[in-house]
Amino acid sequence: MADEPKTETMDAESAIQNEYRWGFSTDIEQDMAPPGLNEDVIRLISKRKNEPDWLLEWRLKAYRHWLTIKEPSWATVHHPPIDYNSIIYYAAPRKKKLLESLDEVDPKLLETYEKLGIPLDEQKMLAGVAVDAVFDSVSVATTFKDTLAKYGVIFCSFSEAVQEHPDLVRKYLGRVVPPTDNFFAVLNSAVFTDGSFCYVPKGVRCPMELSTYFRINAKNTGQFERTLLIADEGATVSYLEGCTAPQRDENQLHAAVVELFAHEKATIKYSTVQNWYPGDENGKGGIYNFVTKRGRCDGDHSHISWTQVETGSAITWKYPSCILKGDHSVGEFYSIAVTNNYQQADTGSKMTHLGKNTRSTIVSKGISAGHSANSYRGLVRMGPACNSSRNHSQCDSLLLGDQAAAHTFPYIDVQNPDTTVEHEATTSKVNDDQLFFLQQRGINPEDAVSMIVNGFCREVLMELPMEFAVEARKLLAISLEGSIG
Amino acid sequence: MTQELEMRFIEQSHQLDTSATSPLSALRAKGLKSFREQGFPNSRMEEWRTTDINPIRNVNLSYLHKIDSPQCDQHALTGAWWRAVLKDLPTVTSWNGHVAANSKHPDVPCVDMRILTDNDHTPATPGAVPGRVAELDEYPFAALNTAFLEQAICVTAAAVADDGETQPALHVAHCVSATDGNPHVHPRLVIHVQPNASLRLIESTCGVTDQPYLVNTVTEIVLEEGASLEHIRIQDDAPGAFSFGNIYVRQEANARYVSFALNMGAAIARNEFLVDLKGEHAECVLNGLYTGSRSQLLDTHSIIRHSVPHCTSSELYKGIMDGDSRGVFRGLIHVLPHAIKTSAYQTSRALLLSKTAKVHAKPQLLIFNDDVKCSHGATVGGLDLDAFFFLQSRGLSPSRARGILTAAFGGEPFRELEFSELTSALTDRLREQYAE
Repeated sequence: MADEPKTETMDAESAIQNEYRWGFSTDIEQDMAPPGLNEDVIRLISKRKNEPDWLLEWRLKAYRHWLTIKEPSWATVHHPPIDYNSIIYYAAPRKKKLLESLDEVDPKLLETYEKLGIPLDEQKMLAGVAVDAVFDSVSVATTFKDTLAKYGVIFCSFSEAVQEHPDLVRKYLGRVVPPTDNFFAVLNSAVFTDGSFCYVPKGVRCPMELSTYFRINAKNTGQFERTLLIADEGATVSYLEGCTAPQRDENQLHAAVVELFAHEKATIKYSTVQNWYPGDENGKGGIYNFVTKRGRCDGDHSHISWTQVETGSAITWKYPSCILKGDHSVGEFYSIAVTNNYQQADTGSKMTHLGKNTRSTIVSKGISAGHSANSYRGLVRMGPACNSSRNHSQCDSLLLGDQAAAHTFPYIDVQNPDTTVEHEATTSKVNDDQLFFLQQRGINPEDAVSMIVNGFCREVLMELPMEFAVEARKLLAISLEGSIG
Repeated sequence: MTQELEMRFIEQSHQLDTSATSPLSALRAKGLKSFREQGFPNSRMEEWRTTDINPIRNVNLSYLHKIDSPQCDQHALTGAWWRAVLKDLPTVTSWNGHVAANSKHPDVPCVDMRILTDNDHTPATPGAVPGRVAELDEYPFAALNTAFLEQAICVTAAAVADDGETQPALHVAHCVSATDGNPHVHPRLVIHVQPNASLRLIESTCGVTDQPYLVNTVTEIVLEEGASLEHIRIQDDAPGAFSFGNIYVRQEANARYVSFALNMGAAIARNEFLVDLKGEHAECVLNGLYTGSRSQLLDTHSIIRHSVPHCTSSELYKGIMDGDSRGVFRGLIHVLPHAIKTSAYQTSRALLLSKTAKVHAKPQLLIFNDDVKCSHGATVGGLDLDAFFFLQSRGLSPSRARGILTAAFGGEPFRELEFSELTSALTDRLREQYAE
């Protein structure tokens, strides 16, 4: 950041000063289910996706459980009640055939990605990133598949995996986030349409960073992705996820589920840059992002690391967590959450220590500006058998503007004396002395604040893969635009 | 099942004199209404998630109407170590929630103490009346206390005329004695410290019985401008007791409130603090120590509300948990939109001495403006083995080393109390207790 803050900020200014940069939508004919949710809609989804019977049963079981539970109200977020019967649970682009190269992709889609500034072909050349692009609910393009196939890595859309690797899907689906988990995860289990699937076989270090770009396109279509990532014994994989969405006036629901499963000595690194449409400066519109992300360190010496940069969404409700079951397993959570205008974020992490000598780290940086509210909510649980385990949590909040709010709700449950749990949190505004110093050196206030914010987040930004670090810094500056001064 | 217990309490409160038209009777009606709406809490409620009060349902609790002091064994009380420290202090004792009508009030300079009842309701100052600061919504036990409000101990401290005089001190003891049956008692204490006055208040709860009982206190404290109060709470109830304390504090400008709560007795004990900083430059120090053994459940909840600019608060709670005991700490610092230049610090540390002890901690910050300095920290862990080894390498026995380390850990919250007799006695006590 210190190298060239100026350029980035200028970029930021031009990009976001007036409008949400990624605000546009593409006109493609869609095949849709009628709005509303019932068993028929689920059967329809399952049929359209040509799913085996067990998966349909699995969905129906989730749906029947969903009917018996209530939407949670404990998060410190406020929104009008969601009408689950006005949502369209299935929408697929009509043109549908298997594609070998980008040339075969609908040019309109390609144009969409170009507008986003992340054209697929450019990505393909850059940095060896394989991209599985989810356009609305059906994946239409997957690249670098062949390269990955050489190593035995399976990386495909979820629906493809159901067709081609049903045994793997059946073995792992719902093992980390069961179909009877929380309200939104259960809803997802019932109606998920697509997502990504990745399996890295024994002893393989995945040769490239894997990445998926999600994008909501059709109006009123809830997005219910399901991501399942499995690292077999001794495997290593790094997965990147980023999202942007077109501008909409109505709130859109996004209830994704991500499951990570790490076997013995496996390492999974999952990075997210989230930039869904946050609503306008008066809090109108924006995405409701209610996501369940959970990783299970099942084998000994396994390692799961979550890194997230959350700048978008009107409401974020997300707690990437780790179940540290294997002895000597490690869980990490690094997060930056930025809220501006009327955004609300209730985010944090859950670390459940079950195995011996398990370690976890939580570093959370919250920045709230405008009228926004930013909450850290986390749980660290030390089970009775997790001897010699330790956790360190650090949550810092930075407030910009006297209308912003920052909250911290850490839950600490310890049932074993042979463990160490540490939690610390601070809340403050931008230091006046630092601000004065930078301005006195000729840096304008906006850039100065941007530099201070970047410094505040440095610990987390360092954890991001290179490709994302650049985008993330840009997003930080963009998100705080207009809140300073 | 749920309804049954609530109904029993409601019926018993109906037996109180409802025909009276005194202010207390009006409060009782209000308390009963609030309790009727809330009922007893259950673990599905967020604030009671880790505090299961179901064991109360298994005890047949009954209300004792007798206002006369029971014939109880005063000597049984003197056994407790802390009694020896407090024995020379002016003391007022309530037995089973009532101060005997004929008991002699201690004579403390600058302190006016009155017992308000339905028949005698003339407060020393308009401020020294119950119901001014207690909040009943979301505090079911405070509502229950109010429903049984027959008597309130009201203390007014006036400013000392001469600088040379020492700070007045008062000990209010809530004792429960039951030869048969399981009483539930609801003492009410009102403290009004007038502008620039100061007071040291020791409040204790204890029981002279082996029977389970419920003691449910409400303490209302109003500190006027420039007033200061050192408030020490000692909870040393009988092993089978259920002990609930609701402490409400309102501080005007420049008022200083220093609290130390020692939570060690009872089967289930919970203290709930609600401190409202209403005047600028008010300062609040909320410290406490809980030491659990057996299968005790010791719980502390606190809310410090910063409503105006320039206030400071600091909170330090420590827990030492042994046996199958469970410790709960939930503290909330709430900074409202206009409370700029707030400084608030909160620390919770717990030491686990056994494999089966548990601690649940939830230190929370709720901040609605940017010009603040707030932080909190929480740690939970076992004894530091390096320090333990070091002391042994210097020739100390393991048990002594354990006693020294534990006393050093537990000593921090009360180290700065001005009441040095108590601090040294408590340190000695901790050192001995954990050296066993």
